[in-house]
Amino acid sequence: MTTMNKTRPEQAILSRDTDISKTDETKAVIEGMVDGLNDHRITDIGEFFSDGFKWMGNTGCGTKNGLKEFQENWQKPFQAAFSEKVCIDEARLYMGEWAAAFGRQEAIHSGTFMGIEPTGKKVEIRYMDFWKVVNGKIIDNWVMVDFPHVVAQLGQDLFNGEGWETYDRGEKEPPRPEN
Amino acid sequence: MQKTTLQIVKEMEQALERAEVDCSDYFHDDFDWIANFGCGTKRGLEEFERAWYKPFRDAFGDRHFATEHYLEDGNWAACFGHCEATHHGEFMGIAPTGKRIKIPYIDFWRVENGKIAENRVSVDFPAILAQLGHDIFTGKGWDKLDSAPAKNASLSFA
Repeated sequence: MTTMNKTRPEQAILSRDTDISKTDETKAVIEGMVDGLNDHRITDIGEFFSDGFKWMGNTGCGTKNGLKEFQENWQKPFQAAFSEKVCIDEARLYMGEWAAAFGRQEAIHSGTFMGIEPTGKKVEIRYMDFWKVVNGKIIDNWVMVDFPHVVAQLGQDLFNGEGWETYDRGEKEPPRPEN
Repeated sequence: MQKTTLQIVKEMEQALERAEVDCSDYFHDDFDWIANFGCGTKRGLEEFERAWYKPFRDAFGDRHFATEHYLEDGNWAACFGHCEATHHGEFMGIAPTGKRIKIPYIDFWRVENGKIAENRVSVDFPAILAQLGHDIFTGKGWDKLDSAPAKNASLSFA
């Protein structure tokens, strides 16, 4: 080389805070956790989650501070409303300490859910998850679970006909912005 | 040099933030945009523009995207964060309030040949409605079980 490039552009800015060497460890924890949840484990699920982990869900699902609140305010109401749950990730990504997945849970609506008496129907509960794993345990879990879609499968529309699917089906014409 | 999956996704996001009208540099014409209930499913770029991008811009102005984390694994990328915007057009029957609101999202993208072929999305429409004073869960949401919202919980408005 005859010239030295003094100002090389900074590489991998978007992932510079990610320790790529941790990817395998993250993968092992997430795979164990998904199996554990599919086996309906509650009391010993702390094998995968740190005691103080934060579960941060979308509106209607809420925020669970720590393992105990996750068990009491998410796992238990979920199992009270739905049984025979199977969790199927449709895509799962790993990068360093981080993992992300989306997919569906299939379950039977066997208990009251959002005021709707058990119907015995098989429902699909769609979700998206982001996890951060530190020292072999999940410390943060960002979540979106599609409760309005579950309610819709049970015959009620929480958006009262205002959902943007009406644009998809040509039932309403979307507005056109001036900006 | 060939762009990484994440570079392609980032360039697309910047274009959307600038409200660039033609998105064909970033999406395949026949890409699928598949979202949670209330947002819908858009088959192809034209449908995405007609039935998502335009109504979204009509309802929400002065948009700023605060993505908290990106992740890339092969030809898939994902991110979560929230959009800060002003409610300046009708949204789900609610007349414009001028309120500044936060719109949480999670996105997954599959890239093929340098463009997005599939976009899986969750946008928290119930969070928007809650900030505009309307609880679609009528008090039955499981956030009512919470002790207190977590610090820096960008996706939570409990």
